[in-house]
Amino acid sequence: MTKKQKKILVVDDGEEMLEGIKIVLEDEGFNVLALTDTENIKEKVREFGPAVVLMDYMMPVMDGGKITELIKRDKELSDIPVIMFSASQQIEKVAYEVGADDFIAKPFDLDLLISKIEKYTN
Amino acid sequence: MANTGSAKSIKVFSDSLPIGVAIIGIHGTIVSWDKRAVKLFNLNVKDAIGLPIISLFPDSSIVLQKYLDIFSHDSKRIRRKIFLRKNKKGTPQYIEITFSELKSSVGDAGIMLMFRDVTKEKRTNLERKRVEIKNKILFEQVKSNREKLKSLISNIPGVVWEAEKVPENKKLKIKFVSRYIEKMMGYSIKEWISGQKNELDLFDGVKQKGIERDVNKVYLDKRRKGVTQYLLKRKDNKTLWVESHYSAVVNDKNEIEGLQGVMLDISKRKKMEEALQKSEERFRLLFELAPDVIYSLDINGKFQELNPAFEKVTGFKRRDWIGRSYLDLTHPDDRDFAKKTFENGINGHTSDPYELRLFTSNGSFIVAEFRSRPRIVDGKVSGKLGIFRDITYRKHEERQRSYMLGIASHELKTPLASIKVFTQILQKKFKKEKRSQYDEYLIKIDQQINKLSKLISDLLDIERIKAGRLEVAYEIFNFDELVNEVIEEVSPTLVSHKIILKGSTKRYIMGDKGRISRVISNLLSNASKYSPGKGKIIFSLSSTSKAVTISIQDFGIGISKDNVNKIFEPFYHSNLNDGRKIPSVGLGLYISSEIIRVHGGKLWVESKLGKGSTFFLSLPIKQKS
Repeated sequence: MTKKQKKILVVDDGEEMLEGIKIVLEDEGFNVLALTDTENIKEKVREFGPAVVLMDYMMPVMDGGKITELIKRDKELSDIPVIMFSASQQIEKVAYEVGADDFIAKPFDLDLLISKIEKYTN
Repeated sequence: MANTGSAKSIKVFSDSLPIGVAIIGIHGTIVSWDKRAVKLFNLNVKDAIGLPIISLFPDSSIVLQKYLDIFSHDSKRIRRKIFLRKNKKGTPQYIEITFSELKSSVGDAGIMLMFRDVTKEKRTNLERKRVEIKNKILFEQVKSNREKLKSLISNIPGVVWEAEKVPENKKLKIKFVSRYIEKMMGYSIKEWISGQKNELDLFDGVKQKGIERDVNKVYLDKRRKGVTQYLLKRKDNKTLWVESHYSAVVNDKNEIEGLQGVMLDISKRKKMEEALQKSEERFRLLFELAPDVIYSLDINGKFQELNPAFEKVTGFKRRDWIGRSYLDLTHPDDRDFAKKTFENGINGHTSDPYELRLFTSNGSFIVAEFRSRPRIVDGKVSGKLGIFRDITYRKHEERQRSYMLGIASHELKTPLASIKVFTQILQKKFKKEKRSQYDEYLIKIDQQINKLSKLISDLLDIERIKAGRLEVAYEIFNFDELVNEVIEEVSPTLVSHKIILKGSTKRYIMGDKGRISRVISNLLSNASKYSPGKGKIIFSLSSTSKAVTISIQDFGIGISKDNVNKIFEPFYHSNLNDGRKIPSVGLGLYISSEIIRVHGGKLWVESKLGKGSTFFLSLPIKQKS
């Protein structure tokens, strides 16, 4: 399996952030799906089949915490590692409560992000 | 025997008198001794004749001899003297001797002594004198007692008075008033006692009618005494309050003959009482009208007093809560804390201010802010006193503000996070293309982003600390690893300092990893900031079974004694010794110490101005629960 085939799903309502992360991760050789729209998210996850999900917390319509809960409750999807990130440090506690596997506070170092993703994809 | 003729005639004479007679010769020996003398001295004639007369007065022989001598020379100088002797039984006998000159025609001279037993008279005299002296002493005593009494009465700071009944007009007439009346009422004693004045005049004042009634009471009352307070008018028309104690003087038939008493000036006391009453009234008003709840609890935590604000704040009736425990009013989740606070308070440890959620009559809760003190009576803690106020609205506002600040911080950080991502993308791209000439600028942008991000976090933390809502995410982690991570992260930013790590803790601790690493990184960056050009920072690790401790030592400007405690206050600034200000918001150490405090740890400093500072941080090792 080449690195290219390792899929990362990134969910964030901020398009700039999404774009940045997409550039970085694709440079690192990942197959990146970036979503701002959280509608039918479970289906989208199932369809894409990511190795890791990067999930922003604070989003309109449905927050990242609820989405993570949905994923973690789904038997098919619950094994997919979810790394939550937020500009609010307080979310760390919530992230673990809803079943996220890791947490990164925004703003973050790209190297830290990459090392974490690699930790869950290897 | 010579002089028989004259002696005979004297004998006849003396025998008819109750006196003894003796004649003594020029040598003082007895030459004649009559019947009565025999009786008086219990000495017969035969034995007496030829005896020196002084031998009959052994105790006063010298004096008698002297008198005899004087008399022989000048008979006018001595006539009569009393001498004491003892008779054969040994009882004292007073003998009065009357000396008379005796000259016979033939020229031989002698002295006629007439004896009279004056023992009885003497005794009576002595007795009388004794009685006289006794009486005199008694009199003096009475006199002095009277003087004392008089002085006592006149010095009593009140008017002592006595009045007698005047049968014809049924009134009482003043018989005596003590001198104090002059001082108290401004009238002279004479003015009071003279003619017109009667008992009622003494009480002549604003409430005269009341006094009449009181005096009548004395007539009716079985105890026949009373106490009354009146407002009186002085001679100068000033008024004064007096307290009059009076009792009836009764005769054998138990009829009232008069009245006596004492009248005291109680104006000062009255004034104080009035002032006290007024101040009590003021405090009562304060208690009644205070918008905060004022309460007192007994030693068991039961309400003793509650002001009306209690009803407004809780909606409950006060009477339903007096005697009930404050715990019943407290939210079940807050009861443990409330109990602890109460017990601490009783032991003199204040927790002011503290918050408890309280029930209200409609079943909802309010947030109340308390301030309390132990109630101390006679040196013993007898309960608690305190106030509380409804701060539900304020709490709501605080939460609102905190929430808004949280949003604001999030919104500020979100674009910052994007900027950081793109900055780093640029760094990466340039690196890939080997265009390292712009690295320097990109690193600066990145550092400034970090700074801004940290500042936003700090401001948010300050707000949370203020609201007492600094939340910590506890996890168990390897402390040495955390330290190494922080050093690794901080080292590149410390351009001119090298961190020398000493020792290790080999411990896991439970705490907020992110926050603790922020504290350590803050201490390290301070150490470098305040020791420009010093090159090294010593970072030591140690541990006990209960705590891990780190110390971060720099060799920089140090902190003066006055400022050692101030540096942990928010917005504290320090200057370099050349007066240059070090750019800083002054929040780092404050937030750090709060974070460590929330963890149950300690942050402190030892410093010498000009020599450098060592910051210590200790954190408890919590067992996995």
